Amino acid sequence: MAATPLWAQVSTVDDLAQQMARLADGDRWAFAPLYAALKPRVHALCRAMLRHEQDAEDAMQQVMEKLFARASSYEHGRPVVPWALGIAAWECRAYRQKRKRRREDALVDGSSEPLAGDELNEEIARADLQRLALQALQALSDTDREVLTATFWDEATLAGVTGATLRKRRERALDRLRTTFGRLYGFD
Amino acid sequence: MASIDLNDPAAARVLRAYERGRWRHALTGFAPVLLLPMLVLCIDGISLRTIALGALLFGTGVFVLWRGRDAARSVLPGVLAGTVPLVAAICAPRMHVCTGSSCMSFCLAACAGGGFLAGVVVGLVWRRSRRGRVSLAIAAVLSTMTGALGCSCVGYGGVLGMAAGFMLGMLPWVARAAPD
Repeated sequence: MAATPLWAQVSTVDDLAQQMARLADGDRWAFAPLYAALKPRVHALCRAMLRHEQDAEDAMQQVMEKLFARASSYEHGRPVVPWALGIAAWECRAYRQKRKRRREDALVDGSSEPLAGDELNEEIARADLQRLALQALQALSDTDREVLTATFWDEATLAGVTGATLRKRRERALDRLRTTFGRLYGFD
Repeated sequence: MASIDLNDPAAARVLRAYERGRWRHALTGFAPVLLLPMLVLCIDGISLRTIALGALLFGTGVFVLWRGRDAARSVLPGVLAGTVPLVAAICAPRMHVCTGSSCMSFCLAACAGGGFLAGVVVGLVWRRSRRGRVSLAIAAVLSTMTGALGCSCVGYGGVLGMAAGFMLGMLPWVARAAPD
């Protein structure tokens, strides 16, 4: 007879919360089924956010360690999956920042290697987004374009405009850019 | 039941992280209890016996909290009940009755009486919680250790008196639970 897979032992949200409450209480038997149930979910999120298998594996390991290290302070009744995925998302963002910094450092050193696979796809997607953002920028008024160009490409100051006024203008221009972007391409 | 292979280094690392988290949780959770031996040291002066008892109490409490489950839930009632003989023993030397040439202090009586009250509290809480005997034993040990912090200044007699009072206070509750 085939044994029930571990993840199937804690398939529902209530089961997960119960198992996590047991683990928080010190019941080590709850560890294995919880680990089996959370690992694929966390892995899927890390893969989706990082788009790089090796990085996703590393980030998932870190997330699982952090998650279980905090298991003892888990509040009973709190939904487990959002809690776990919240930690995972935070960790993946930090991982992405680290990766970006690494790449920038490599560019400065001149030691960057050619991109391959997922990284290349990510670069292409980023370039596409930039192109679309520039097109959306063309649909804005001259003043908005000037503010945004000064903010992101030149300097964060405009002739004759200072501090709070500049911030307010930038905020409004960004709002309009977002609206235009959404109207043109159907997403933010 | 199927199980995760803990020889898998990734799962083993996560389990170690969980255990580390439990130790941290237990240490921070029991840290306020350190105030009790500190209080005794401040009032009665530096004593190796108090330091040793405080360390033993802290070590036991942290270990029980780390293990978790029912035993961990009896830590708080145990320590709180133990503060009764502790406070009684701290206050007793300030109260004495002098008749003519001799003075009578209440130290031993305070320890035994405080121990009795602590025993009643531990027994009552245990009876109501319907937990196992291990849970009762943990609460009794922690309560006795906490009380001993104060009663040890009276000498071993104080600790023994408190322990005897404790057993006496707890006995009816344990005896009533025996048929279960």
